[in-house]
Amino acid sequence: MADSNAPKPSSSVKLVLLGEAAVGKSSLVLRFVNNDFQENKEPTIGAAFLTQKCNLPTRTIKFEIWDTAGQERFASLAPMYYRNAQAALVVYDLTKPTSLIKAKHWVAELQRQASPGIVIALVGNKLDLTNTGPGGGGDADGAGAEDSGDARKVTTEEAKTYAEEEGLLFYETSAKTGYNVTEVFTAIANAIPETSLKTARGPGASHAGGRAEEQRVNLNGPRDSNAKEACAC
Amino acid sequence: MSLSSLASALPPMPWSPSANDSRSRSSTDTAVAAPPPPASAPAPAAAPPPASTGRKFNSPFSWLSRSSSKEPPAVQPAPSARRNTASSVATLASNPEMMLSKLEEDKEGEGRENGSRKSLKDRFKQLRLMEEATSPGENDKTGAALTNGEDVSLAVQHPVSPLPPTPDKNMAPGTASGVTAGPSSFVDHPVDWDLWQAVVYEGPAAVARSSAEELNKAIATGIPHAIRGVIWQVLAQSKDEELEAKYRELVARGTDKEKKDKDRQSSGTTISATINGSANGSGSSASSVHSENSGSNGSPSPVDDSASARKTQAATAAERLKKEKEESAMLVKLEKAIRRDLGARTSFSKYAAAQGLQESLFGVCKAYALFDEGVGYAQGMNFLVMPLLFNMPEEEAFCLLVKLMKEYRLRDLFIQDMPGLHLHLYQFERLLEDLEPALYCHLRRRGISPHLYATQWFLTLFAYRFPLQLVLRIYDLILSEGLSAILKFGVALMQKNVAALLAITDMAQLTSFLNNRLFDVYIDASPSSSSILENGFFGSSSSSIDKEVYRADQMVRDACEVKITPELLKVYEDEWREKTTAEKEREAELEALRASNASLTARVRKLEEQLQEVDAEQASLATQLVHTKVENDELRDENEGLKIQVQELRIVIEKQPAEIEAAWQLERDDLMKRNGKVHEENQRLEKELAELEEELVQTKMQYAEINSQHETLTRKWTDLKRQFQ
Ligand SMILES: Nc1nc2c(ncn2[C@@H]2O[C@H](COP(=O)(O)OP(=O)(O)O)[C@@H](O)[C@H]2O)c(=O)[nH]1
Ligand SMILES: [Mg+2]
Repeated sequence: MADSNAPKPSSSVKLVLLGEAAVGKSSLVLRFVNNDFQENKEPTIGAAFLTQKCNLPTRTIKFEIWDTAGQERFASLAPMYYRNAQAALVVYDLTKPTSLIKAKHWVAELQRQASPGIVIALVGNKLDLTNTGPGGGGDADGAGAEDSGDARKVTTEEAKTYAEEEGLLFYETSAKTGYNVTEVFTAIANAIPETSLKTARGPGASHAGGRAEEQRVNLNGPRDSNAKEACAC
Repeated sequence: MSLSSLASALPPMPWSPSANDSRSRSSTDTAVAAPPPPASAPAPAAAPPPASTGRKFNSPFSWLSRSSSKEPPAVQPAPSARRNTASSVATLASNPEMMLSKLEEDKEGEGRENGSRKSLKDRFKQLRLMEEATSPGENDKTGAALTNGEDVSLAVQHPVSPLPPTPDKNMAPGTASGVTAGPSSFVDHPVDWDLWQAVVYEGPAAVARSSAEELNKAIATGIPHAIRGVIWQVLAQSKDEELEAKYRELVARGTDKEKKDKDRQSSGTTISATINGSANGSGSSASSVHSENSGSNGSPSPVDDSASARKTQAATAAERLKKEKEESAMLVKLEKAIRRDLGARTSFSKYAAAQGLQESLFGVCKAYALFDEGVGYAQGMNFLVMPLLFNMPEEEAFCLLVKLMKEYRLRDLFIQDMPGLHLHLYQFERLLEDLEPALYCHLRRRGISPHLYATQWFLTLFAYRFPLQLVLRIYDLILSEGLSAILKFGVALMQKNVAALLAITDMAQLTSFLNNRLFDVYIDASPSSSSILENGFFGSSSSSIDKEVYRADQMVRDACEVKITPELLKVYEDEWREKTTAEKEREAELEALRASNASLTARVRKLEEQLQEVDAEQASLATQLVHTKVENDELRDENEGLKIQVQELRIVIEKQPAEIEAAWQLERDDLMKRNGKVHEENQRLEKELAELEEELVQTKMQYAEINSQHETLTRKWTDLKRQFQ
């Protein structure tokens, strides 16, 4: 309690989950927040809001998590949730190739529309349904109506290569077993640049500031924002 | 004309009357009771529909027949006001939307609905009898009805009713006649059965015209649970046998098709059985329980329906064969998506599962997805459907869902891009700004827009998180007033929570509160025994408050007090449209700018490349120049060296002739001397040669002498030799 043991600086980080319906976004959040998993989850309507702290050696990050609905028609709501977000978890289902395509669309949209410094993690979920991952494989539950055995349809290499090209964090997880879930969030917490963290946030200070920023029009394509500092000609 | 055009500008209610019919109806009103449409003459209910005309013209005290002695006089409207048509005009102020929509009457719809209304009527009658039999203190009322000459047949029929007076255990408690009866605050407001009967028999439009205030009040105090399913369908005019047949067809699609076909060929037992069950189900949930009553009801002929079902199926059969493969693949996908969402986490769905309603829920979702391709299956639909299924069989729930989607414009909330949702969110935000500016600013400053919390309210008509006790009441109002009731409830909830919300400054806490705790203000801390009875069966999704009792009446009252005029909503709608088009234009402009920016960037890049090339060229030229300069210097040096050399050489050349002359002189002299010597030698050798020639001559002469001597001697030799021979 003394000075030496002073509380670590704590800061809020707005994080948004995006991805096709039923890839396991809500399950990942539930695992992270409550360390729980429910086989029969009701769908998310609009979006769900949860918070969870993440303790780093030097500071505490308080995640304000927006878990969005994945169905295509809800896409028009997404900007409400990812605006001003400092981090995003773009989730796909390892057993469903189309979900990776959808994830790539989300990444592109984030790079185009979200805050420039946003930290994006690409997450392949349901690792327990594959034989390869340490997350599981032997579970004969069959609740997902997937074929038994190795249901993996997206290779680690493919997703990883893509993530590296785009400069994303990359993890394969299982919300069911909990494998790698905390790791994703910790990695994100670590990747948030210190400068973008506002400690001792006044009531709504960051959001008021964020609003001004939101007026900013990003005319640059994703390429330019990367290359912005490169050329000084 | 102007009225109808005004009314058509507003979202029409399903039971919106048409302008010219309101005229004709008013004339029949003055006559004695208009007989009901001929088709609706079932045996015991044959008495002409009593309420409207009787209520209006029998006696100034006719209202007594409907209000039990317990009704507090303060709540009663003055009889004169009620009789007067002016009363309905007066309600225009309090509920203009409803009023306006009532100015028209849908004659066509009424004619079409005859058959179905009949079965709803029957069901209503049974339920009423059952309720009145089980409710204490209802005897007065029956007496009043008798003295008034109304419903004699009903009263007479009472003792012979085959319905058991005991609660139907299979019905959802609180949704049907089971645990509770009557509107929520039963003790305070006895059920106005005659009013409801009028609604069922004459249609809501007629009742609204004659006694709008009572109807509004009755709905606001809650439709009695027992007849809620019936009243909902009457309000929405949703009963539709054809559509029910369509429902069964859609549900069956892709399941054991062959088996079904076989059944159809062998006298269609399956289908007619299903129809019997649903049409005769007098309860509001599971129909099978009531099948023993089927004989006593004037139910529509099952044969007709199976025939029409057969026809429609035959018509689509050929078409279906073609697409069967892709369709079945799509079906499998759809069914999987729907099943996945039938979670069992909320008390709703837990309850639904316990009641065996999961399959009906699945069926309605699937059928609707197939029925309306523009919407398909939307997440959230399942929550929307559950309250319906608690109150009626699945076929009817499907029809009501179709009505809600189409006529109530709920569909707009679910189609691509969800324009209806965005519109309602915008209207809600504007209303909040108007009515609770402090709260509006408080939230806005923290970046909390209604998108973040009200989306789930509107998409599921509050059924997603809210306790069912409240949700049913919300549905009551939506079905009677239209979809804009959701705005009233939303605003009322916010108003009720203003203090609590203003006290929270943390964005995260605010958001959590808005998403999960908003309805807690309606928790009844000291519930009366009747409301415990009513609400005892379940609460919200969170188990901690599962057993709460909510003051639903208060909530509905609050909502009704929120005055929202259709004009205002129209203004906001126009604003929203303008805003969206402006946004779209801005987006398009932005896109254009983005495109031009991209092309300009490309050009800049190209120019940069060119510049780089030029730079490189220039650099190479510069180095070349330097090289040249260096070379030049070198050449200059060399030149100078050469010049000096030339100088030297010239000197050398200039000196040379004299030297050569001198050298030549010397050489010539030398040569002359040597020539002289050679000459002398020559002369000496010539002398020597002459001497040698002389000597040679002498030698030759000597040789000749010798030779002649030799000859002489040889002759002598020869002479001598001859001599000797
Ligand atoms: N086997 C397996 N199933 C999962 C996992 N995560 C989620 N699910 C299931 O996938 C379905 C959809 O999950 P949900 O979290 O609702 O997905 P969301 O729509 O992205 O939020 C549910 O039935 C979950 O039980 C996982 O890691 N492993
Ligand atoms: Mg979800």
